[in-house]
Amino acid sequence: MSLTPHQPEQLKHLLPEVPVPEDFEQQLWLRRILRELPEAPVPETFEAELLQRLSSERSAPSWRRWVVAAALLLSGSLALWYLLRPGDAPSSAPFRMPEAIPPVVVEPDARFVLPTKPVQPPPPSQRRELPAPAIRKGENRFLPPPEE
Amino acid sequence: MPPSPSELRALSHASDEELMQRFQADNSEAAYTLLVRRYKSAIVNFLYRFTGNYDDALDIAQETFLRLYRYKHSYNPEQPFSTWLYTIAANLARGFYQRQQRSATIPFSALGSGEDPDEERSWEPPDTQYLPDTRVDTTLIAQRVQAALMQLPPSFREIIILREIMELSYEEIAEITQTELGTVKSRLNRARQRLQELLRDLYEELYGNPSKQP
Repeated sequence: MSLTPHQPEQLKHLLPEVPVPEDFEQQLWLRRILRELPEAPVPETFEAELLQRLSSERSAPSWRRWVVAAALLLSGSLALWYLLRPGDAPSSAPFRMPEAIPPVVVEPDARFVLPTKPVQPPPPSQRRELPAPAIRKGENRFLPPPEE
Repeated sequence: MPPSPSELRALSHASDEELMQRFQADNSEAAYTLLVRRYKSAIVNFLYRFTGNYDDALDIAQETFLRLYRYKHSYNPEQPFSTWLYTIAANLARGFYQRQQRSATIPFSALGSGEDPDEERSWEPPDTQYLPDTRVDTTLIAQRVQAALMQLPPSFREIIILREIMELSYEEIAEITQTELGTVKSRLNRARQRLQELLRDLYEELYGNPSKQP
């Protein structure tokens, strides 16, 4: 369906005008001014300084590796020396073990000596019979309830 | 050892991602140098606008390229190289800012009102004691715009710089800042509004008060 020459004018009146915010120009200015900010210059030495930092960083781990290797070698040789030393080695070793302490001899206490024979129960004639207390009706033999 | 001009020439037409793959595969110094040359200006510029200090910007830019060298294997070739590099720079800039703030006292008024749901990081105090770096911002207008940028919370400042100055897409910004696309848009809107308020005086000085005009 095509529009007659008069219809576009009518349509224009029918559709509301899109409002433009009051600060439209200020918004535009802000965005423009941000894009026009000067670029921070990069010094000519930037790459050379970066290379220097890179090479010092590369050399740092190898230096650390040497220190770790030396420490491992030293501790390994010390451990080997300790294991292979003769029994009567002088006590000047760096990791000196405490000298052997003679065991302390304690006299047995008669109270704590276990009997050699198991204790026999007394013969039935010597046993004292206790009279069984009578249980009255309604009484129980349990412990009294705990006090509140 | 720096690469020879012929090595650089041979790789000059390669894309960033191709250069990065080359660098990952055989530690090509030429590929690395070309990447540094392509991005040093953009990274220094981004960092300067974020930190407001030229020396700090240069230092963090160098650290960014050192990280690129050190962590080259963590780069995924399917990802755009620029986004990855900006992510490193932005993370370093944020860390730098936080270290700076730890030693500074935070005025109570600088803390957000808490009413704005978009102010997720409203605890981040803006830099109110900023002195312009005249080595870069030589004009008074540029100094005032940079001072206004420094008054924005860092999460807003970062987004407005990436969008309006570095001209990155919303998707790229979302990836760099590790936030949702919707958050990027709303923060950008808020950042523009705040910046507009902060620079109203300058605008009126230049163009007059629009409300008083006929």
